[in-house]
Amino acid sequence: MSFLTPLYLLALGAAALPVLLHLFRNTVRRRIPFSAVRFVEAVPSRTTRRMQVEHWPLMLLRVTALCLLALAFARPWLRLEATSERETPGRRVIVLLDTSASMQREGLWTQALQHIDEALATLESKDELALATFDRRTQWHITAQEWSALPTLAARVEFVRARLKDLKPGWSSTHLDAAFLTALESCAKPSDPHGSTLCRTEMIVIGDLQAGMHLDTLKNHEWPRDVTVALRAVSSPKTTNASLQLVADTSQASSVSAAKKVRVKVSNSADAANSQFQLAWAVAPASPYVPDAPIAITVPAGQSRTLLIPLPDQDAASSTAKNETPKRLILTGDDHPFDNTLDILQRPKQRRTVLYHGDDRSAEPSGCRYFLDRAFPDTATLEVRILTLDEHSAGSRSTQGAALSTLGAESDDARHPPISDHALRRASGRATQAREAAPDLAIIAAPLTTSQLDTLRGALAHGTTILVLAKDASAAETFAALTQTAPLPLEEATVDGFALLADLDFTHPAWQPFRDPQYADFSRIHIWKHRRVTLPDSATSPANLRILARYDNGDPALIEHQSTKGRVLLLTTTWSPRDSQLALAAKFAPFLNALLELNQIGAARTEFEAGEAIAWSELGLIPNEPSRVDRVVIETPETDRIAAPRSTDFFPPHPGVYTILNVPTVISTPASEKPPLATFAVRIPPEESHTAPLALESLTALGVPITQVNDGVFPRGTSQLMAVKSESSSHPTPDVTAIRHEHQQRGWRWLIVAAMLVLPVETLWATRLIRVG
Amino acid sequence: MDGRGLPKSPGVGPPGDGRRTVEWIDLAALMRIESLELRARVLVDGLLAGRHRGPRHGQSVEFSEYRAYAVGDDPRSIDWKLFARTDRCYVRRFEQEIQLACTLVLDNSRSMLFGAPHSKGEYARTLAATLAYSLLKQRDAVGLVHFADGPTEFLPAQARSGQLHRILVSLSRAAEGRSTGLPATLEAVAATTRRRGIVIVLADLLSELDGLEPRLAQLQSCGQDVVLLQILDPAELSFDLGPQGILEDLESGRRLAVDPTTARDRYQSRLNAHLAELETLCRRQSVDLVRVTTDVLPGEALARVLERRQRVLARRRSAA
Repeated sequence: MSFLTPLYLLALGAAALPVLLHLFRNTVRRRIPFSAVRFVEAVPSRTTRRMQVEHWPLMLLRVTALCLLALAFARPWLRLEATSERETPGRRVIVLLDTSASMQREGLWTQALQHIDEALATLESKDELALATFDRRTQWHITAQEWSALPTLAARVEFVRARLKDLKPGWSSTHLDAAFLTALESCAKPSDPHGSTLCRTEMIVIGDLQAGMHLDTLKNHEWPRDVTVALRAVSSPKTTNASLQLVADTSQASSVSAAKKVRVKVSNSADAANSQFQLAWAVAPASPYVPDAPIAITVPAGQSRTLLIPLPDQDAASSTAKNETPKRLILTGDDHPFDNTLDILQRPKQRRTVLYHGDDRSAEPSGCRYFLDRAFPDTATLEVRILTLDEHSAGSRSTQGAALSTLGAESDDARHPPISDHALRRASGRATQAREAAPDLAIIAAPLTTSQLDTLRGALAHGTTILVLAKDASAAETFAALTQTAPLPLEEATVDGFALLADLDFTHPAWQPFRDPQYADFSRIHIWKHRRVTLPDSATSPANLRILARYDNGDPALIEHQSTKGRVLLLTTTWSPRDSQLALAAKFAPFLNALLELNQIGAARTEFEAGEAIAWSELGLIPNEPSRVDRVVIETPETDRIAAPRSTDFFPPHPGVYTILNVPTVISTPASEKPPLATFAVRIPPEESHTAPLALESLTALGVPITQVNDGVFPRGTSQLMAVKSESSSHPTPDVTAIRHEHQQRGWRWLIVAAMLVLPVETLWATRLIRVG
Repeated sequence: MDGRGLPKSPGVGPPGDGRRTVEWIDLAALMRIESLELRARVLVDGLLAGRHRGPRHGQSVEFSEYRAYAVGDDPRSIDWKLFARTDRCYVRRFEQEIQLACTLVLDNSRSMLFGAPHSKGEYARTLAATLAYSLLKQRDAVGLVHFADGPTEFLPAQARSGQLHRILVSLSRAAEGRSTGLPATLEAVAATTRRRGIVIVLADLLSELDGLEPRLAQLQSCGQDVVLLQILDPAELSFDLGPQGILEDLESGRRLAVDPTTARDRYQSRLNAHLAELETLCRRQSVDLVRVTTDVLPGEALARVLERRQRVLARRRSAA
């Protein structure tokens, strides 16, 4: 028999208490006051021993009760499986090695490799090992099959060490939840085709286990009973880690003055010893860091400061790119520099053109144009011009000429960057002038003439989005003329009070801003009047006709016709206050801006996280466009060039500024001669800067069966991993097997029951003795 | 009757009447009476009534003696009938003419605290109160002396009203003396008491007897009749103190671990020797010694005193 908490056995000493009480009960001498002591001779008292137990059964009952209670608290368990454990076939050990950005801290990777060595030293030949690294992705480096394929344990260990030489920490975030799920999935598939003989699986997580790791997907996941998790936390003696994050992109700024500044947040770790840091701009990402008038900041431990840092003046020598000028902000003064660099891309202002064709004027609040002007306010990076169809037709020739001249001149005017931005993103060789002449969005609220129709058809061919407002039944003919299909029957609908928008197709990009359920409530937008369109049955309706929204009575509200490049949408009402509350709703401007972006092939992102899979479409490149090139040349932050296949996503290996150059044929040409296709910044995930140790409760609350933390057994109620690490050496605790056996047997319950049975008997016996005398 | 003692014989009824009366008075119930005065009344009215003569003159007044007329005697006391027969003038004398002065000497040492269910001290106070009540009722003068290692309080013998109250108040004080100095007390009493009378000592008399005999003789020479009323608890005689324990002397605080069963014989022999010595001493000095135990009714104890006193007086009268 063994005991889980043997210190409670000291309470067995209390069992001596009844014995002593029984023995000494009669030895207390009675004091007798007397008046004639002088006649009494001092005769020695009797020498007979009175320390004798008079009530043996009562004393035994009391001793038994105390012993049972003491044994119950000691939590005994029987080693019933002692023999079978010796014949245990082996363990399946899965090592999950953290290669996230926070492991870039000094000394952590070395500690991690030492933990792997320690884990290898505990393995026996019958054990099975698999090793995976995890950051944003989980990658197997050694599978159980590879391990088992090697003949001897020494060969296997050497194999592991050889693989470890090629590994090093990356720059992406820590997704321990995904790593756990991947490992559990591998556990479900036995490596032995004849059935696994391994009795249990032990996962060893080696990493810094910082607070910023992702654990969300572990919720509601049920862990198998035979899987245990051991944590091997590595830590750095230097705890000061300040991080640098971009709070708001300059594209979000609405004023011109704000566009010349960048808002950054400097956070300091809670256990930091230093609070003085410096911020400075590097001249260029590729050049060596040169402190340029560093800004001293004070961030106390555990706090953060948001600063508005003015952007450095545009330097002609540093503006290697024509459209986007990368700048690097560097933080110094902390112990770990891995998250101290922030690359900022200053995007040039973009111009978009919106055509409006209607019989109302811009100053007329009852019309549609009035609200259109207010739906596209100027921002620091976006300028939307709203033109009538006639204005556009009259000025299209001169605009084309200006665009062409601008392309050739490579203007340095920052406020009017080269309009070749979109054109150059499309590496298909499309005609730049035609693309520039085509508007991004055309809104048609009146019947079209033939010439106007031709203009719009031409724009449609170049990807323009045309929204036809069904002001009356004539809109059906306009829609049919633009889509070159049969006119849809359109008539004034009878509305009982008001109609509501319902059944919105949130998968369509037009509704993309409202995909989040908290923004998907359209029930407050009342439609007073709308037109009813009767679509042909599915057999005869065009295949490229799609209903994006309906009214609550089932009538279509928004219909899309997809053409080769562009698309034509029919809104069976207008946003005129006479027809609906659309223009008055907060959703109006996001909706129109989403329509404006429909002709853009993917929103060109410029900010990515390290380890994130970047689709070429996100950079504004057309993935499936026929091209004679299948690789994209990218200039990495280390200024070397790599060729990435266009068929797969791109995984940026390092943080920094990446520049997509032209097709491989330009590799031989100097980079300065050709403008880049796109520039994007890859940053370290901000959660990686949360280097404080993870609270163990956050793992145990998710049901992770943690049994060991470093060399000690996981003690309940300890909040910090590091605290566990420090305490584990001074307080040895019983092993996991004892805990499991004790939990299964629960012998303490029977001991408590026995004590509860003995105590009433003792009480009855004592009562009987008192009554007898 | 020499005119200094208590009444010679009970006036009414045989002595056995008192014993019969004892049967309906419970000692425990008597001792539970808080008021000493009430306790004394019960005893006097219930037990001592008729055992001695009343102080008033009346038909029952007994003639004592004739004395030859002398100049200055009241002519009203001349027995004219005798003068007619003998032609000589004699005057009649009656015993009531002499007022008794009784001094109660009460042991107030802590040894009197011994006893159960009531202590010797409580018993002695009851006896003293009863005597005082009875004597004051007969217009006799009663005084009270407390003593421990010496006299602690002294109330001269008086017969005036209020004396009983003062005596009872004095009796209500608890015993607190750490030793027993009876010889010194008796010496003080002899020095302060001018009138003839009787001195009744209520004590356990278990202390050393050294110096007691001269003091008794001194009192006798001063014209005081001394009665030693030795009050003992039955346990002091039997030494039945229960199981083994530590004996603690009530006065000195001395502790002695003994087993009463083994020490009983030796104790009793030493105690008996002490009592015999005391009796011898009293006999030599013609001092009345009455030994009572606290399990006897106080009235019964007082009756013994009276009887003993009567026997002594009778012997003296016969001897005279």
